[in-house]
Amino acid sequence: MNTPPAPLVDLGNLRVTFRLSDRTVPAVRGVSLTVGEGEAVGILGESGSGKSVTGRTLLGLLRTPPARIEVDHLRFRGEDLSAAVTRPGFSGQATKRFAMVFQNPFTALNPVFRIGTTLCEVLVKRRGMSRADARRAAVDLLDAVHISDAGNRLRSYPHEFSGGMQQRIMIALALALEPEVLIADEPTTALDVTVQARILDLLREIQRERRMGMIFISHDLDVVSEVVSRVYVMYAGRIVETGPVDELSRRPRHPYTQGLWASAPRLDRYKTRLPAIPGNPPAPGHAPPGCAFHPRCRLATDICAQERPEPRPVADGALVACHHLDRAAQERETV
Amino acid sequence: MFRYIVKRLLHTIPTLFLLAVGLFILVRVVPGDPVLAMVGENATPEQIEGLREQLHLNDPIYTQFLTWLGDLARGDFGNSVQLRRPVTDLIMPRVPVTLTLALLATLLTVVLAIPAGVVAAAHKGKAADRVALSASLVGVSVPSFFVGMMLMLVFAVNLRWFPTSGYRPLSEGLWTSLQGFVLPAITLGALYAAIVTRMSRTSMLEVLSQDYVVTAQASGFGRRRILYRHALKNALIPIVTVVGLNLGSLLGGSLVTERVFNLPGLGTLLLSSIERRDYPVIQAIVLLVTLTYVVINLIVDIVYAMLDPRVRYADK
Repeated sequence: MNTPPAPLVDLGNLRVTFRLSDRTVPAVRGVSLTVGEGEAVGILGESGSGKSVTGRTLLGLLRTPPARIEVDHLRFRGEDLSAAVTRPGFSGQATKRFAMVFQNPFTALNPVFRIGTTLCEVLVKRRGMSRADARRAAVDLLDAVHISDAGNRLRSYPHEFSGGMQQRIMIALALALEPEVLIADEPTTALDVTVQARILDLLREIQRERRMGMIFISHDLDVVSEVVSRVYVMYAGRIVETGPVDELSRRPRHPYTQGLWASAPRLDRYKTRLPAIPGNPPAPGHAPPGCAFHPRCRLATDICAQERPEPRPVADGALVACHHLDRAAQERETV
Repeated sequence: MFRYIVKRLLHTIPTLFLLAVGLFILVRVVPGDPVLAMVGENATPEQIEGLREQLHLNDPIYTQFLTWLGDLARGDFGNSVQLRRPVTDLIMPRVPVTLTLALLATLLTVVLAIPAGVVAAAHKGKAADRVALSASLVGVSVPSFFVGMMLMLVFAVNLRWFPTSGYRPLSEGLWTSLQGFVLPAITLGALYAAIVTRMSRTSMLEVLSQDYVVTAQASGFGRRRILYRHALKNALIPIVTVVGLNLGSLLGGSLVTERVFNLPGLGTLLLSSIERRDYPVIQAIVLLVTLTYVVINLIVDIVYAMLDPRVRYADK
């Protein structure tokens, strides 16, 4: 059996805690994930599940303090970044490898700069290009994200573009860094549905053409499954289930994932009311002991409140952290 | 941009017209007959009528208004009722005093307060922030006559670095003239510098929490570059307004500072004219001050548009 090549990103047991004036809030409580060369993975979870904090950690965007970052390991193509990621100056190293597309393109572009200025600044300062080269490269980048008349559009200000166009520019700006991993944090959430689809197409196209790694963060299962091949499902700062996207959508195993799937509106399954997961996800810092999902789980027993379930391998590289996998599987058949 | 400026300039015309009408009416509704005030109580009706004729007060009101406007356009503000001298002669020598004082105080604000606010915001909660906040609190709270007298005591009386008071015109040499302005400018600038420091800090903090600052961080730019290039231009937008309005009120004369340092500025002239009920002088000063406000507002709006492209766009 061949040993698989070292993954592009290998993150082991990330924990991020925010120290506030009166308490400490654990936002991420143990996240391990890998991204292969040219692979797109998704992180799926509700607000407060720690998915964005995970992404921001990799980019070095968290301020330490108040954040405290701990990892068992972080390797980038085998290179050990475990110590670096926990330190304040990490962003310099991080931005050579990672780039990010944000949720809200309306506010993510500096309103007082022409977009050409914004793009060229990155190309000149970070890639060491001359002004003339940077201008040509900026035109190419706008072409790559399908903005027509790129040469003239460089002179426009952000407010002169629509939301979808602004997100395309944000993608171009991220690409200007030539990242090896693109982190997309809810990149379509703020956009119209029709625009969403086109941005997803663009992201998929760019990721495949450039064979970039991608971490796609979203709360929306349908959106994630459009783009990625593997999904991590997060709940209350931990990963509760992971596996290939097809496997997960066909056979969700964790009761939380099942609930998520069932609550997503679908055109082919008409129901008068969508089944909802009872209760609310815990606020960061208020996760219940044991399995954090147990107060909302229909299968919960005493052990769920006492003992944290370890992720167990099931099939096809899928891992699930649940004490009641068998019952969950039966339930799924009856749903 | 050019279109914006032209448009903005045209906007000032109705403002100026309304201003002139307002001022014209104001003087005519003030209690007391100016003619009686001029000729004294023992004048005969013929004398009074003669003077009325001479001052065109029997003309129809619109003729009076147009004549007055015409005079204004030629820089003729009429004569002081009490001092019997052209108003222009009274005001003009005082303009350089007030202008120098206002500009120096504003310069102080700009070079000291804006950086102080920016540094405070960049180091929020740290020592630099606390120093800036405390200093600005002192600046806002301590009355300027006290600041003025303390400065005078320390730097003029004890250290003898600057003269205690009085005005030396530019003809006595640039340095000699400026020396006399240093302490008054600090006194006057202290309050405004304190306000602008706080304002800059707040504005900068607001900008630093914006998403595009995170974008700049994610692009791997250094802290300094993010602060002074990406954030500052945005943060300056509200600051410009405050500095502009400050300058406007400073140009109206600064009574307390002028008094403390015995400077012959517009503030003291305004006060003595009010005491003398010298309406033409008051009218001229009010006109001058309001005019200054209009011009400064115009400049602020243009700077605004230079900083923020959305302003230009909205006005197209």
